[in-house]
Amino acid sequence: MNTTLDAQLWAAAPLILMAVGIVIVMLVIAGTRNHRAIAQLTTLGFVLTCIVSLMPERATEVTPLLLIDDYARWVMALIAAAGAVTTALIYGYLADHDGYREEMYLLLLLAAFGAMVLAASCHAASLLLGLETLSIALFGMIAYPLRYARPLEAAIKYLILSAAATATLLLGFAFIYAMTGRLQFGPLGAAVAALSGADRAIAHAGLALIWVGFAFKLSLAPFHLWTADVYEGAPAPVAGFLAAVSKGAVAVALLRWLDAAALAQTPALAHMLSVLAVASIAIGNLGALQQNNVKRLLAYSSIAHFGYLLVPFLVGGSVAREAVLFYVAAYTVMTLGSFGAVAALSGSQARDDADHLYDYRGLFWRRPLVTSVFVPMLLAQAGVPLTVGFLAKFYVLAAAVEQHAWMLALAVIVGSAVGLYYYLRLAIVQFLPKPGGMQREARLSEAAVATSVALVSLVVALIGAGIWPQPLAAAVSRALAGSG
Amino acid sequence: MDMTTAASAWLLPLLIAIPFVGGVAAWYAERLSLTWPRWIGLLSMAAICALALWIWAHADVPGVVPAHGTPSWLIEFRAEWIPRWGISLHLGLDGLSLLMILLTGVLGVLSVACSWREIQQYVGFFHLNLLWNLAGVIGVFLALDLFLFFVFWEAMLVPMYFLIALWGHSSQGGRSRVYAATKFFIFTQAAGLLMLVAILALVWLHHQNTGQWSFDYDQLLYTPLTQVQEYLLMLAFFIGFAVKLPVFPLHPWLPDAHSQAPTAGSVDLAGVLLKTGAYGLLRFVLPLFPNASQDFAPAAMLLAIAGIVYGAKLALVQTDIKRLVAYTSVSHMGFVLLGIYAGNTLALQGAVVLMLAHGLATGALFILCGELYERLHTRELARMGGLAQRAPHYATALMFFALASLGLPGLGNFIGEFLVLAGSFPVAPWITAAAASGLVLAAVYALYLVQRALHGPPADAHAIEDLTARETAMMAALMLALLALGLFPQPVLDLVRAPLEQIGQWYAFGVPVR
Repeated sequence: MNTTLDAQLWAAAPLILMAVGIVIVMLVIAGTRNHRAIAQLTTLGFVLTCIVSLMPERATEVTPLLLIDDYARWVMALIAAAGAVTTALIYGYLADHDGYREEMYLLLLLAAFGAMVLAASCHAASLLLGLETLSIALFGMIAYPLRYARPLEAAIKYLILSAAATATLLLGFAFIYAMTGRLQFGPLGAAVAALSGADRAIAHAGLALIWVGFAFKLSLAPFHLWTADVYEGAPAPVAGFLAAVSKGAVAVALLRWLDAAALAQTPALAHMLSVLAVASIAIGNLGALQQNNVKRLLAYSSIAHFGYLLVPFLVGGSVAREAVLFYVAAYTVMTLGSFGAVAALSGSQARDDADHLYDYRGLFWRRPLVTSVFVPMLLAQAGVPLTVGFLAKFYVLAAAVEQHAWMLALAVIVGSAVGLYYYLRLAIVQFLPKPGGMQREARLSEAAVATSVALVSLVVALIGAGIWPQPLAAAVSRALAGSG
Repeated sequence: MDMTTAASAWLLPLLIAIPFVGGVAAWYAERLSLTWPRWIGLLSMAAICALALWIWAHADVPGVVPAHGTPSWLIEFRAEWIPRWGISLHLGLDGLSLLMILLTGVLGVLSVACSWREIQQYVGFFHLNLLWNLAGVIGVFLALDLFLFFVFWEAMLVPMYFLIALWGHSSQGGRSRVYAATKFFIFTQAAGLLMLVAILALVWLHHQNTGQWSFDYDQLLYTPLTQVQEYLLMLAFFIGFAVKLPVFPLHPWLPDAHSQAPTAGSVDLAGVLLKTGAYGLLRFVLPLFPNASQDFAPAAMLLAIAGIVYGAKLALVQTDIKRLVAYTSVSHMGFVLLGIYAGNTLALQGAVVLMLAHGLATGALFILCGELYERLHTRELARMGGLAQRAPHYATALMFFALASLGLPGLGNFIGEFLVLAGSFPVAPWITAAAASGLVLAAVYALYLVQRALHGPPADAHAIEDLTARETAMMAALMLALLALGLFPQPVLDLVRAPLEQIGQWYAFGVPVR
C-alpha cells in the first residue's frame, strides 16, 4: 500500500489531533491553571477526535507501524468517547481535590493516545509503544491522590507487574523475531507455520510468552493477582478507565495480532488458553462472591468478563470476531458506568472512595440518579436483556455455538449464574432501608452536573443499544468487513 | 371485523405497552398521592382484560385446524428489529395466548387490588415492578421470535426479583426475602441461559440449512434435525421451562419464593408466572421437537406423577399456610405437565383449563393468606384455629377455594383435572391411575388446611376483622369465574381447540414439511 503523504496524514488525523491536543493542554497548564478550562479543552479534544474517527476513510498504512482502517477508526472513536465520559467523571471527582488538578487530564489524554496507537498497531514496535504510553500514563493517574497510601501502593503494584508483563511480551516478540525475522503482524502466521523442528518450538514458545504478557494486561487467571488491589487503590474514575479502555484496547490489539498468528496451528496453546478462560470465569466469579468492597467486587467481575471475552478469541470464526468487538464496546459502557457510580459518591479529598457495601445501603432513596444508573449497569453485567450486556453475552454464546465449543458455552452459563448472586446483592442493597439515612442528599454543583451528564449518557447508551442494537451490530460488522 | 387489517395488528404491541407505560406513570404518580399509583395499576390491568375480551368477541375463531397445517394466528404483528441476526418483533395471538393474556389481566387487577392495604412503602415503585412484570409476561405469551421471546422471558424476572426482595416478608429465624428472591432469580436465569444456547444452536442449524439467520418461529419450525440434535435441544428447552413450571425436582425455589413474597407477588407467581412454563412447553417444545418429545413423554409423565405426589405429600406437613399453598401448586402443575405430554386434544384442553382454574383458585388462596397475615401477623397454622366463628365470611371464602383446589365438581379445577385424566388414560393408563391418587391427597391437604385454620379452638381471644367490601368483591369475582369455568367451560374449550388440536397433531405426527 503505497499511499501519498497526503493520504497518510488524513488517515492519521485522529492520532495527530490527539497529539496536538496533548501539547496544547500541556502549554495551557504551563501558562495558567484553570481546572474548568482544562477539563473543557480535554472534552473538546476527545469529542473532535471521536468525530474525526467516525468519518469514512480508506484503509491506509501509515508507515509500516500503523494500519488505520475501519477497525482501528471504530475503536478510536470508542476510546475517545470513553475518554470524554471519563473527563466528566474526573471533573466531579477532583472538584475538591487538595493539590494540582490539571495534570490528571494531561495524563488521561496521554493514556487515551496510547490506547489509540494500540488499536491501530500492526507491528510489534507500535504495539509496545502504544502499550507503554498507556501504562505509564496510568501509573500517574492511579497515584494521583498522592497523600494517601492506598493509591500509591496500587500504582507501584501496577508499575512493577505491568513492567514484568511488558518484558514477557518483549521476550516473546524477540523469540519470534529470531526465528522468522519479522515484527509486522501481517505475514507472521505464515512465517511461523513455515518453520519446522526446533525453530518451530522456539517460535511457539514465543507465542506462549506473548500470550502470557497479554494475559497479564487482560488480568486473566492466573495472572490476575494485581487486579483487585489496583482497582481498590486507584481513584474510582481512573479504575473505570483502566478497566474499560486499557483492557479493551489490549483486547482489540490482540484480536488484530491473532488474525496473523492463528491459534489453530497450535492446539496445545489453544487448549491451555481454554483452561485459562475457564479459570478466569471461575476465579473471577468465586472471588467476587466473597467481596464486601465494591471496587474489589468489580475487579473480580472484570476478571470473569475477560474470561467470557476469551471464549470468542478461542473458538474463532467470523461471528467470534464480531463478538469480541461487541463485547468490548458493551464492556466499556458497563464498566465506565459502574465505576462512574462509585466515583459519583466519592471524591479525592477523602481517604477512601465510597466502596463499602454499607455505603450503598438506601442509596436509591438518597441519590436516586446514581442508583438508576448503577443498577442497570450491574444488571447488564449480569446479562439481563434490554441492556447491551445481554447482547454481548448473546454474541459470545453465538460464537461458541457456531464452533461447537459446548464446554466453553457451559462455562459462560455457569459463570453467569454465579455472577448473578453478587450483582443482585449489590443492586438490592441500594434499595434496602438505611437507618437514619433515607433523606435525599442533593448537592447541586457544577461538578455534580458534569458527573450526572456522564452517568446519564452511559445509561442511555446501555439501554439504547440494548433495545435497538442494530446500529451497533452493523457498525461492528462494518468495522470488521475491511480487515480480514 | 377483519382481524388481519394493519390497524388491529397494533393491538398486540399495545397489550405490552399498556402495563409498561402504566408502570412508569404509576411511579411518577406517587409524587401526587399514594392512591394514584394503585388506580393507575388497576386501570391498566382492567384495560388488558377489556382488550382481551374485545378481541375474543370480535375475532372469528376457527373451529377446525386449517388444512395446510402451518401455524395460523388471529392477529399477527411483525416489524424488523435486528436484521443482522434475522431478529424481528414478531408477535402473534391465537386462542391459547388470548386465554393466557386474559388470565394475566384478571390476576393483574387482583394483584393491584390485594395490595391496596398491604403495600404502604414505596407504592409507586411497587406498581412499576408489578406492571413491568406483567408486561413481560404478556410479551412471553405473544412473542413468536425466539430472541424476542427470550428477552421477555428474562425481562420479567427482574421486576419479580424486586417484588420479592423489597416488599416480601422475612420469616422469623428463617431465610430472608433477599435469599428467596436471589434463589428464584438464579434458578430461572441459569435454566434460561441453557435455553438460550439451545435457541442459538437451533438458529445455527437453520442457518446451515438455508444460509439465513432467523429466530422466527414460523421458520425454525421446519428445521430438519437429526435424532440426537433434536433430543438435546428439546432437553435444554424442557429444563428452561420446567424450572418455571416447576417440575419436580427443579422446584426448590418455589416454596421459598412464595413464602417470602408479598401477596401480589405470590398471586402473580402462582397465577401467571408458572403458566409461562406450561405455555412454553405447549408453544415451543412440542411443535419444535415433536419426535424427541414423544420419546421423552414417558419420562416427563413420570416426573409429572412425582410432582403430583411429592407436592401433595409436602403440602401435608407444612405448618406455614403459604408454603402449604405453594406446594399444592407443585402438585397441580404436575397434572398440567401430564396433560401436555399426553398430547391429545382432550388432555391439552384439560391442561389449559386447569392452568386457568389453578391461576384463579390459587391466586384466591394466596390473597386469603395475605389477608390473614394482615390480621394475625402470622402464617403459622398452629396459631390460627376457630376462624369459622371469628370471621365467618372469610371462612366461607377459604372453604370455597380449598374445595376448588381439591377438584370439587362444578368448579373449574374439576373440569381441568377430569379432562387431563380422561385424555391421558388411553395414552398411559397406569400413569394416569397413579396420577389420580393425587386427587385423594388433594382432598386430604385441602381439608387439613380448612380444619387447622377454620375449626378447633381459637388460638387467642382477639377479635378479627371479617372481609372488607374490597376483599369481598375480589373473592366474589373469583368465585364467579371459577363457577363459570366449572359449569360452562365450552366457550373456553372452543377458543383453544384449533391451536391445541394443531399442536397435538404436530406432536403426534411431526410438523408437515412445507
